[in-house]
Amino acid sequence: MSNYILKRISQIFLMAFFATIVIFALIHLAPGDPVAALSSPGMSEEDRLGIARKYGLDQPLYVQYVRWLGTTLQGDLGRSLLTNQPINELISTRFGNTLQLVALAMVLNIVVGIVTGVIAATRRGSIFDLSSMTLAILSFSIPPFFLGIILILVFAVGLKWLPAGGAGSFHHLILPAIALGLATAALTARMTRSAMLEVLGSDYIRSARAKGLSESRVLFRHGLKNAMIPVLTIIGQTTGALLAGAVITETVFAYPGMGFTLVKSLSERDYPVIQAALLVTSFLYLTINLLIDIAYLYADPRIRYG
Amino acid sequence: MLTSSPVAQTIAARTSSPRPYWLTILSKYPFLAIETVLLTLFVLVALFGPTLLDVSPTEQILARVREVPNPNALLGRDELGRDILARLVYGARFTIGVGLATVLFGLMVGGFLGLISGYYQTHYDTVIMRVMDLLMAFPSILSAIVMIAILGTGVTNVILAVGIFFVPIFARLVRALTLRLSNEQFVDSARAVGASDIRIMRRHILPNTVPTLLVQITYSLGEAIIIVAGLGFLGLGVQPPTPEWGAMLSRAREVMFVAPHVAIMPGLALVFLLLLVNLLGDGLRDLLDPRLRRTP
Repeated sequence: MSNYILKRISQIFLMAFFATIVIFALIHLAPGDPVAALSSPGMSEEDRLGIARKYGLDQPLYVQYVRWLGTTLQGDLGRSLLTNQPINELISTRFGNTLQLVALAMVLNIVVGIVTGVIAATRRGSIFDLSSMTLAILSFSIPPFFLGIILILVFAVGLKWLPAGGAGSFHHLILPAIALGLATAALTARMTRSAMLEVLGSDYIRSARAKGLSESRVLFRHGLKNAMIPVLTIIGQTTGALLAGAVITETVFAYPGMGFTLVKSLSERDYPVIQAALLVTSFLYLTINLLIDIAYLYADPRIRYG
Repeated sequence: MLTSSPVAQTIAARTSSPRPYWLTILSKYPFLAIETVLLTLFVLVALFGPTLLDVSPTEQILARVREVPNPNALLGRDELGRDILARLVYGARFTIGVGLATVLFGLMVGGFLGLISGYYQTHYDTVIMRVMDLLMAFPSILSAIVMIAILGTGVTNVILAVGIFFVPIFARLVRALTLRLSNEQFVDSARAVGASDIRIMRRHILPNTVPTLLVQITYSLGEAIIIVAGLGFLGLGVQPPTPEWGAMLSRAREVMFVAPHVAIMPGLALVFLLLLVNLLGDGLRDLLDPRLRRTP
């Protein structure tokens, strides 16, 4: 078991290393010369060279990469080209904002998805089953940005219950979290339902019922526990989708998170900020994937002892 | 048990009646028929709509800015006084076409890699699949955004940036299918009579991957349309004044408090299209994947 975790952690480190190379390369392949951006039109060739030397831009790419990696690993993400603000400062609150948003969307995903899926499976063919599964397919057919607009129009403009955008309180989180999490909750509900149906039709459930276990014990100890493996897979996949989807949701709600920062810095071509935003997001993504894998261990003894 | 399955029944019907196979299937699965017809309609509108419609999608009638739906402009006018219906019809070919192209890109590249990987099972296999893992390690729209930021916007770049996301999905699926099929008796038989590798792959393995692939293609198309429209929404997709549904939604945000219909119309068009694609995916899965059919 600890072997498995160690193997996964070393894989994650390898992935993270590749991520740093890819992100560094992408930014340096991008059109636009940073020296030209830093110097004013009237500058002499010598001054330009001075600027290049000051920022280490005269060095070969691999030297620049190693230097950049070094400072990054020490926790210094550099400064914004535009505002000269330290990126650590800029990103720390926004990182927290995104984490809050993704966490709430994930809770929505897991709670709504699993509860709906279990009820639909145990009452197969009922009105609840039919209507929730119809709602599910509708939910993931609505693009998250359109859902965001509708939520704003209904709950912020029409009913005036919740703010249309921004951050600062729990109220600000509700609409973006729904816009972000509804489609994945629908996927989780569908997966839970079909996994539960498969498990409930199996012999050991019949045995559990035959030996007189209470229905709730049959459902949760014998049913849901065994149905959790495919459900965990889908939750793992959708968590990545949530993190990626946050880019769009944050833009719709002008929610100051990592995605919002990324899109803004892309349009401003503020490369150090783009780099930092990408780096932090992909590390977060890899960490979440690792946590999901560890959760597997508890759900699937075949991996634990395999 | 075998004769009770719908497919076995349709096969029986196929051999005993002169009715064409597809007609039998469609009459057994009426919803699938409706979805197919409606989706075909969407594609036809995307293909021929612009030539049949004599309203310009870019003509700005400033006197009628943000007009609500009326007999003159059935879905109303947008923030610059352009006809929304005309823009939706012209935009359909980008939304549907680019979505389809990205999935096809993923299918061709991923399918080829998966087939080679699964059939030969040598060290190429390991290398290819590790690269696929790496591609999967980064969230779809995020990597697409970065690629477009670097390559620049434009239809080809969008197809490339989003298509790459589908490469590992199809590579893994085709590899798994190829691995399973390679152990089938009919492949051994083909090899025994001296069929070449290429012939075995082309005649015996690929055709048997089609049903499962069709289901994945349909679901992927839904995903692709959302991502492509999402890029358009972020201003990284097809550039204005070309009408694209995601970009239309994005522009509409500026006026959505005073003229919500400008945002709602392209949004509803997207929802309708995606609903059809996803329902078709469900229908195809029920029809083509017997393993899943047993647990509806």
